[in-house]
Amino acid sequence: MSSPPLDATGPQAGAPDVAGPPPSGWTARLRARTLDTMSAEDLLPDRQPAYVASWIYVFGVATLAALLVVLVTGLVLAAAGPDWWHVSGVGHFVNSLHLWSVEIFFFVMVVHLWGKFWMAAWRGHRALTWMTGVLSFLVSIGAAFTGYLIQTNLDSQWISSEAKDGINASGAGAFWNVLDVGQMMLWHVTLFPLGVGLIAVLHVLLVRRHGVVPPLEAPAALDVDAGARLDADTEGRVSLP
Amino acid sequence: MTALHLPPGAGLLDLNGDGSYLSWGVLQISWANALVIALMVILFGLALVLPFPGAPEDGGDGR
Repeated sequence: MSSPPLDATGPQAGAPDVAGPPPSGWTARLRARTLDTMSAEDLLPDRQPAYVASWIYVFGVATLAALLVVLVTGLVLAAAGPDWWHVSGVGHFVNSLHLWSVEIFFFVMVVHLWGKFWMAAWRGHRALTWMTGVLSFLVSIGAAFTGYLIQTNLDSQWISSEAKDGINASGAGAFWNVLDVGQMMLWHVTLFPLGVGLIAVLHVLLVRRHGVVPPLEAPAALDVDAGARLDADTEGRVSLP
Repeated sequence: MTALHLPPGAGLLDLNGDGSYLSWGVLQISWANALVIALMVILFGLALVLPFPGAPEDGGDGR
């Protein structure tokens, strides 16, 4: 018995088989989980609750803006190299942009941290959002530290020679040698930026999924901006999933 | 170390000298770091009290 001829207009041409088994495979599961977790409105909202109209809510996005400048100027420095950033006028300028964007990054990130701490931003199923922020802060410190180590000047020599005793005392010096410029350079331009970038993306996605945390004094009913996915607990408090 | 010869106005502060520190018992912090922390505290306080442009004054949901 021969097989039926393929028909470009038949069921195999693209129409989903609604009566068939649910889609399998990791791509289908990931797609279903992603769409189930976050809608396009969550990801790119065009409205925010009124309580977001406060200066204390500005510092998170200010941190992201500073991080973007850090990454872009870092890419330029990596492409041109130390001879360029030590000698040329434009190199000095980009090097300074990189330094000062890092300073602003930490400055506004600390204010952001204080703001979120004092409003207990882990409320309403936002613990993972808080912890990714903590993790991002810690990894950022490593990124900044290795940046100071790879300036390739006397300052970086001084900092690395001072730091080695502390790092070695912790035991980490056995595999993480702050006197090794090559190793520190690679950590600074690959692993740390990758870590900070991925954690920051995850942090922002979690903020988008659960919505911006309301102030402590705000009524619980205001905590609804991320959509209609509301859960009310036994005490009638409303929180996002 | 050879002194750097910077053009006039290259920096508001001379950063090539010895640093100055605040000491309080076992605690010690440079003036520069103390100044940065103070600025962060001031900015944090201002962010709490300054009105945000365009914010609804009645505290409504603003939608």
